[in-house]
Amino acid sequence: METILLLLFIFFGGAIFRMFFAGLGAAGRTIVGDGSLSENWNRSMGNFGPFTVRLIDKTVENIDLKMLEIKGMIPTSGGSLDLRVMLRDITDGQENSSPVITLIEHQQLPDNKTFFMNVNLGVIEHGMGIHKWVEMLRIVPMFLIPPHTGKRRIQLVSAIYDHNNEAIWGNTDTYFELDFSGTGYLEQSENDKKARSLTIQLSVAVALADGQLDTSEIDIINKWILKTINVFDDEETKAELGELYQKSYDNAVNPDNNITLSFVTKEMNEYADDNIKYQALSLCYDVMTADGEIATEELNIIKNLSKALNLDYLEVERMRDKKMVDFDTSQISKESIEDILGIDENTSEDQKRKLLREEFKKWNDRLTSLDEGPERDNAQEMINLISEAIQKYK
Amino acid sequence: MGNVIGIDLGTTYSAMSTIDETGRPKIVTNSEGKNITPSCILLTENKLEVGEEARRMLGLDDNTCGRFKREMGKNIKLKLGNKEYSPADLSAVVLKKLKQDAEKSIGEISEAVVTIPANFNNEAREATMDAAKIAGLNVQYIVNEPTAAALYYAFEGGHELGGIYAVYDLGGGTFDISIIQVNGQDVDVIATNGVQVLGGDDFDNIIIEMAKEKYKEVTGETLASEDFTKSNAEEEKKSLSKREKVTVRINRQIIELTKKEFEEKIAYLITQAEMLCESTFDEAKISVSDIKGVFLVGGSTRVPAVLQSVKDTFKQEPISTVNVDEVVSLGAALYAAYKGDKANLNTVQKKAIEQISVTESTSKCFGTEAIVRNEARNSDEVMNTIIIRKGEKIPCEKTSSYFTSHEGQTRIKIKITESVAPEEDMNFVKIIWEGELDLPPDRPAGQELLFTYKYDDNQIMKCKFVDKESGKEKKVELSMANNNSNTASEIEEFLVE
Ligand SMILES: Nc1ncnc2c1ncn2[C@@H]1O[C@H](COP(=O)(O)OP(=O)(O)OP(=O)(O)O)[C@@H](O)[C@H]1O
Ligand SMILES: [Mg+2]
Repeated sequence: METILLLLFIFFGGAIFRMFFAGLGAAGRTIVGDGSLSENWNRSMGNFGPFTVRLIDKTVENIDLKMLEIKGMIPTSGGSLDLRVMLRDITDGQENSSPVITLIEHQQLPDNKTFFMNVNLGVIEHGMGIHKWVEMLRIVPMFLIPPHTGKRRIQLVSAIYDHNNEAIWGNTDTYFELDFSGTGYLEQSENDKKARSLTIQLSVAVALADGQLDTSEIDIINKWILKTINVFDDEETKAELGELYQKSYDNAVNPDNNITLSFVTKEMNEYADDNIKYQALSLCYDVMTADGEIATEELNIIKNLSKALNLDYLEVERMRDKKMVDFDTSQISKESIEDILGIDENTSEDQKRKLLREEFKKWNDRLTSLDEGPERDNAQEMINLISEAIQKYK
Repeated sequence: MGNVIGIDLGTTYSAMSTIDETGRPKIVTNSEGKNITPSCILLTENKLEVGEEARRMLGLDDNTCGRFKREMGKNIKLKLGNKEYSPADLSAVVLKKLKQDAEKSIGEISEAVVTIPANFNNEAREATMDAAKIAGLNVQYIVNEPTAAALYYAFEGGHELGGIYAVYDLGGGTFDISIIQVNGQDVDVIATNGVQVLGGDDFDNIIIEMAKEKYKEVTGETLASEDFTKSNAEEEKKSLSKREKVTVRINRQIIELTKKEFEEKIAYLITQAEMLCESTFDEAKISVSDIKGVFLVGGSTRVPAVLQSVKDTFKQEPISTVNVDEVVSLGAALYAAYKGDKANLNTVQKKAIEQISVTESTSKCFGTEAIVRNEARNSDEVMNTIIIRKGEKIPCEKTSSYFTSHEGQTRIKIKITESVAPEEDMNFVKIIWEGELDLPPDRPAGQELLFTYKYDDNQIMKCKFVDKESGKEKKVELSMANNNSNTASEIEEFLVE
């Protein structure tokens, strides 16, 4: 009991809780059944029995649900009470248990996806209780994600907190089975780690394209690693990831390993989802512009990368534009502008002229919206470069 | 019964017109007897003087100021002597001078219309309205420069015009291109685009650059800017419109500027105008052969290379008049009579303008920030979404639905955005208003919100944000915010009577 309460405190204590009485969609709706909670509280002298919870299976609108119901008398001396509930996956034993996460937003902890619900029971006076089972909340198994795939044993951890945020009652004896065929969140994050390690290798490969790794380039990659790690708040994970990413970086810069772009992209296609791929490409752009210059070879690499990673060209273009206004365009030469705009050498002159004209229109349109400052100057510089470049095709 | 005037508040030169007894537009000369007035200000012994003297002194010392139209709507101050003025204040000084001169020559002014480049953003529009107010003008309407010019050409053409026309306006500061459907005196703007920084002023800068290079070649010394000013450059530029080369005397040195070199140097600027014209044909869904005529507007269309470019781009001889720098104000006077209080007009005037009809279209997209699913990235993203598209006939009103993103959401943040193209990226739009709407508590996600944008005849936008279920709403009117201008009296005090 002691340890459970401690556990509950770690998860519940101090967090800013949201109220869940208002439902979200059919599946997530709470508090129905025979009358509302307040109608069922009784002061009657009758014998309520001890306070208990139970899980009941129910199907609502074709969705399988687990209802949490409560009954009995609460051991309180009076005051406002909260019922707090979370789920643990204990398939691998209590000591190896992990939280279960949910896709339903209002059933999550405020700052991560862990299943957690807080239901305010109202002000309960001493001696009050509930005669019959009253539904308190609904768990939607199809939206739950355990750490691993397969048949999982889930423990329901519930507790009642008083207005001093102290646990006055707890229960850990309620379980259910969850048959989960998807990828568990721990498995997924293994994939994620792999994908991010590959991202680092990719960026190093891009940085090395001109034959050497500049400090400015190393800087950008380091900053990215730090940013990626810092989204986690426990030191252990940070340290673990730090080590992993450092290793991946060391591997990449070691010429003996001869890490090729084609190898990295192939791996990425296996492990990374599209979102991570775009993030990787974005990092490559940053690395590319880190030294204040854009080399044609670098641009070709980006182009090939987006092809190799099966990324949507329009999306890549949007990303490029965003980078362009931040980049000091005065460094771009008249000769390289067509490369930067991704205009292929082999395109016909008419086509080139048309593409340049479209780019001109785009940047000219944007100029109207940009405020005074470097971004605006960069857009103006793009316009001038494009109008110089188009002279050739008149 | 007062007079109506139309004012072309230009980057380099301004002009004003009214309509005569018979309802025809005519130029109103300034107190120096000139058709156009340099938009330049000179500070002399605590007086602000507008005109030729100021133009000649431009760049010579801190007591002169010009080209502030390019800064309209920006939150900056420009120095004049030891005082600072907003661009709207300085424009007000020019407008005030024009108003005073007009009153001397034609009497009391009851209503005025001021013109603006079609691609002025919302802030610049507001700043222009501000300036007019500070100058003591009764301005109910502003009109886009190309629209005013088209109206003038249509009016002068009697009832003979019919079909699609283009207005090509290259002035001192900006370039505007509009595609217009004209039917007699019915003027309907189909598409319009502009380059903010492209005009005679940029040509002047190139002349200065050339002079500096030549001077260095000849003397080995750097040419000081006071030895060859902007107005010197402008004179030489105008000469090059007629001659193959000009010889310039600077500090007893003779340098030579050739038309050929000038044309090479301005080629990339002229190309910008060409590209924009072609893009505008696409936008208007027409091809060059559909265009029945090209109206020339703006002093810089007198540059032979510009004229040639127009011929090449439109594949025809453009239609021009001697007074390309006056047509905008002439059209504005017509517009003032057409839009304004008819009680100010006599019977003949009323008759003359009764055929006029002008329909403008929006020159910007207006939208709002929202979370949208990005299928390509498989993620939800903050994006700009469009409510009023560019090219909608004015006035117009559009409503779009949005939904709350999460349960128990008690507030939405609202941003009104403006952009030329239908941008999705918030980096490339202008946020012209920001605010919040409080919502009732305890509701599930997905509550419908109705955003209504209404774009008025006088180019002012009214927005309404309504929570459908509760009827809670917020209304915003984007207009004439009196931003950072000095008060009218402060300007008054400096003005030459
Ligand atoms: N003969 C000429 N050759 C070359 N340029 C000329 C000639 N005559 C006038 N210009 C130029 O035309 C410009 C002024 O034209 P206009 O009065 O139409 O512009 P504006 O109204 O001041 O500017 P904008 O419309 O861009 O705000 C000046 O730059 C002037 O030097
Ligand atoms: Mg003009």
